[in-house]
Amino acid sequence: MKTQRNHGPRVRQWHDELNSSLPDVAALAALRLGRYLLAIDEGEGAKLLSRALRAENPQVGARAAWALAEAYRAAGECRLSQIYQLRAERISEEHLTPDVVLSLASRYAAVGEVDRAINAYQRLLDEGTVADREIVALAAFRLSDLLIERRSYVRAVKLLRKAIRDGAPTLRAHAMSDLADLLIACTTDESEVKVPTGLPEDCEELREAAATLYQRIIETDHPDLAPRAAYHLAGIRQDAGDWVAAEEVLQMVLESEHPVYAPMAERRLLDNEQRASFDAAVDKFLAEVLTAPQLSLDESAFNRDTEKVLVPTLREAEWCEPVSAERCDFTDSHVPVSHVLIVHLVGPPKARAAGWISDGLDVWERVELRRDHIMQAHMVGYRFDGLNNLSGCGWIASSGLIADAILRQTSPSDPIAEALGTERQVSGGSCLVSVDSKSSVQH
Amino acid sequence: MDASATAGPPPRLRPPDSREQRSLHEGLRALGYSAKVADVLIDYYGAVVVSRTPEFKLSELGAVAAVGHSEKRLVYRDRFRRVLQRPGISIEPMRRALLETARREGVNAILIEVDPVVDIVVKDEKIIPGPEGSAGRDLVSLAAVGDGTRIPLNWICVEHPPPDHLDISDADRGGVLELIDELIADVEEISFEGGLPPLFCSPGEFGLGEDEVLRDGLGKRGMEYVFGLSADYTRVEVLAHPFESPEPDRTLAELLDPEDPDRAVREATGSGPAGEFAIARPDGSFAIARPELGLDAGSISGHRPRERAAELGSRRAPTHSLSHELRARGLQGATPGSVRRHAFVISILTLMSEKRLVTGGEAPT
Repeated sequence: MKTQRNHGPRVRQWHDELNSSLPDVAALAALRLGRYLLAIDEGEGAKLLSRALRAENPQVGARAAWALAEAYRAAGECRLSQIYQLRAERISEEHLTPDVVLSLASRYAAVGEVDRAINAYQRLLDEGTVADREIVALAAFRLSDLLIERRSYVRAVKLLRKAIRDGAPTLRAHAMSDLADLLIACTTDESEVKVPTGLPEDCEELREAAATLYQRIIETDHPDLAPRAAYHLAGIRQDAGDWVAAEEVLQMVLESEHPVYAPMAERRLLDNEQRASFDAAVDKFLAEVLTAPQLSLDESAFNRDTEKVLVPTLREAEWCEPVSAERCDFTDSHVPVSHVLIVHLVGPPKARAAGWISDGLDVWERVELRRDHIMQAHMVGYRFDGLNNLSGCGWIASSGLIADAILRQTSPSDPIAEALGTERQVSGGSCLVSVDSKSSVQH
Repeated sequence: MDASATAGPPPRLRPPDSREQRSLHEGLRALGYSAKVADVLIDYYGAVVVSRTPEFKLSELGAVAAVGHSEKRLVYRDRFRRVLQRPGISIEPMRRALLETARREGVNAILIEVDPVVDIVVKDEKIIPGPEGSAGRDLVSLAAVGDGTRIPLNWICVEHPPPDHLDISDADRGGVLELIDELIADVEEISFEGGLPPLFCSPGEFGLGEDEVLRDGLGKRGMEYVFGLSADYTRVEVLAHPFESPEPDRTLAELLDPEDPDRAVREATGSGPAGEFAIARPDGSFAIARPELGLDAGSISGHRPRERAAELGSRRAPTHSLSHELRARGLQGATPGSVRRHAFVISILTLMSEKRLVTGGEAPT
């Protein structure tokens, strides 16, 4: 309970004005003093608000009625709250007390009367009803929220744009955030959000538009929205392959110490760091493979094709915890695979990595390795010589996380490669990352 | 107006005995004052602390000092007048000694106080202009607040026309900023551990915290501050969620809630300086704070300013007015310059008598 007793000069002034001969002045003083006293749980705030309500001043009366409705709702007096809410509905007018209409609409939406809420917001948006552009922008934002829930994206985008144009700085940040999220939703395959008319249909353009909005939100330095926007902006940059920019933005999020987004940024930064380490390991692995005496590789083909396919694909690797499976010992494998690369493992110590082993024809088999097995071996790469012999020739990518992928040396028309391409998915917590190689190996 | 500042008679300061007088004499000599000036300053201090009335005039102090030797009453009065008016007796060594003492004792915050000295009457919580429209006179002070300690740092007496409202006057505002500018210049030489501490003041210090112009001036100087506000203050808008009521003119009591973490400290928007936060303290009082984080431009500040503001808001100003405690506003009928000297003399000799003063200031000119 609040215990504030240090009333300032305004309280004394309102007390004086209660006795004013001007009814409107007295009513306004009753409203202000009543709300104030209710807020500090002191005095007879409700009585003063009732007095303000009786003054027949529509501006004062509507606000007093709504204040009483809220006060009784907070006190658990639902019936009284409903009575005063009905009173507020009757008295309030869009052009006189738009704030009360906004509050009523919000209340309708909260209790599931969405159509009624939409109508109330719409009345505020009607041309020339409300002079205050910020109030109109607020109504537009709130209405867009309801329309997004109803999947009326075209209208929602228009309203969000209005909120961005006319709203107060804080509201603009919220509206930009919603619009950017909507744009991003349009670019994902799983999303049911269709690109609204008037927006670019190209996914890259949509993402870039969202990135611009996120950048503008960052500039507002909103305590919650700015770190969130930066985190999402980093995701866009990362997806575009601009890891340097992504890390820069993630670092900003980390430094913001935001309780939600800073730990998320830290995790993603760690991932990126490991990815960089992993890239170096892949490069080194490829270099060694190319010079390995056991295999006679077409070096130019390997470099040209494999690396182009391998590295970008690995960068798209999802982080996951592979499903449990029986341990597979490579040395017992009877699969005459020419070349295997296992480079990515993720998850807790008992997690397992999945890779694919191909015989170079149409037989392939999934193998799974326990992470600790890999870690003990300190390898990210394995190489088969085609005679069931496995020898390590890779390097540790990092101590925590390793990417898994498989590099198979197959013929250019490898049906397995095609099969693996379709298997790149997250399923049951397991992520299978495959790398197609179109290069050929000449034994 | 802080009610505690006028409640009851001022606390009695202990008059120095002969042994203490010798100690004070040595202390003043160490600050660079001549033996003659030191003696007069000690006599003056003794007369002030012995005086039984909250307000006094030089003639009364002369009579107190000449107790038992009434023929010397005028002599003392003239000596005291010279102390308060003679420009050759610099107060600079006193000011620097106070600063050095505060630095040694540790400073958590700088307290700003504005107290009326003369010509303003507080009656029934209303400020009434002085007789015949005479000028009001306020004593503005800065004090270093540490763990259980409070040391005066600087004083200035400002004069302004009788107020017709409760807001801070231009003269008060100018006095505060002048003291802050001096402090900023001082800490370039005598630095406090951890940099310049935040400023704070109690609610009701003539509306000090409610003055956006003053807060803006302090913000431009890069100062951190936390000023108490009354619960019915309406000139703050806060960073609101779009689904929060946009009702206008809400008071702090309506905007903030000490029991709700999301509504206890809220970023202020609107007409005040940028970067301010409105705070509901756990005890139900309210404040406005401007935290200073020294972040790079373009960085995301996140919740750090809010946390810093909450930390600032947890600090409270001492209950009793410093100038009341030191009887620094008791001198009546003097010029603003004399009142300032009076405040310094009482401050420095009180600390000396408590053996807390660190001497090491420059010699007076």
